[in-house]
Amino acid sequence: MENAVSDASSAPQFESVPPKPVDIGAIEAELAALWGSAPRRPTPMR
Amino acid sequence: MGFCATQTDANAVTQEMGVISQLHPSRVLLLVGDTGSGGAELEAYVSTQCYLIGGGRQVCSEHVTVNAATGAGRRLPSVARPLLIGDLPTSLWWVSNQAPPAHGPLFAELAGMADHLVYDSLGWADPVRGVVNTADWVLDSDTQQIASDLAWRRLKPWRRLISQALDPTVEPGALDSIRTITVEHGPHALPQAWLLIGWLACRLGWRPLAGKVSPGVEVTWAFQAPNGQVSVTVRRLSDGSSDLRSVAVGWGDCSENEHMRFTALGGGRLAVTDGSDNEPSRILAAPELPRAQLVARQLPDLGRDALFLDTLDVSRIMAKSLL
Repeated sequence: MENAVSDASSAPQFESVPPKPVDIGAIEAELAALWGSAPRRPTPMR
Repeated sequence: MGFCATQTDANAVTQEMGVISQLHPSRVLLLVGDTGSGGAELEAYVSTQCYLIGGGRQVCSEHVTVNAATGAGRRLPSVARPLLIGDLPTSLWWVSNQAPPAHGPLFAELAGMADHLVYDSLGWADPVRGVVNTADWVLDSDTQQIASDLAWRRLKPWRRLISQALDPTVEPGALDSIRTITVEHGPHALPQAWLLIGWLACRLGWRPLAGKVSPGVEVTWAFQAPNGQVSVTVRRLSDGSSDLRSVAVGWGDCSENEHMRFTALGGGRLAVTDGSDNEPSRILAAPELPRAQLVARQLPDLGRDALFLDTLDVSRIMAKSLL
């Protein structure tokens, strides 16, 4: 879910997450976890 | 993907990446080549940045930062490779006071993963070798990779103003009979001065003949133009901003009325002064864009810029004459 634009007409649906230290081998999984904790997953722009 | 040679570079680029990703939603990988620390060899951080962009819409981007301790930079490509998104264009922004090829295999590997290299020749510690090696890589590389120099983009308003002021409909015969060019630049802006000269040489059909370093801070070149020789002087000013400061063009017999001076006034303004007049005849508003804005504007240009490549080739010839 590398980038996204979402409709936030009512209120922002996603909040920025400050840098979090992660294991070098688990970067992709940690990114997915960041998005997974959002109220709704954003729509990727591919 | 951004590469920063040092932690100091990275501190600035981290903020700038936020600006860029608002305009170009993306997965941002920031690789720091040498944090100067003796801690863990590689450290990784993940974050998300979300912005409201108007119209009730929100842009989110994910950022990954990988810091390499001294000596661990060579491991960065193997960390970056699996994180790239295969079906999206990858741009590599190289931030260092050394030209990208000076970083050797690390640069070669990271550039090999990217579709587009963005670098800034302003501030290179060794501009002569920097220009030669970068031009060799850009022009002679089998991969025909796309490269953009932010210093070239900063020249846009200069090129526009010079083109307009010396246009044959405004100054008939001037372009065909240029005899002298004097360029003054601030510290660390020699490659940008070469790009400007290279641009004039390409557009006007000049062939570089020879270069000479004068004692002090001046370099001169002779060019063969279709209608005679052109003497080009590039002079470094010892202080002030690292940018182009003035360009004086003389043509014909270079009498008083046959020269024109283009000057950066500061505050994002360029002025044209005709002949012996002291007052500018024209002022162009040319706002100095922050670096992040320059990069953001450069990212969509994914074609090879033929004029830039020709200009870079002339810059290389000028630089080689000083080796």
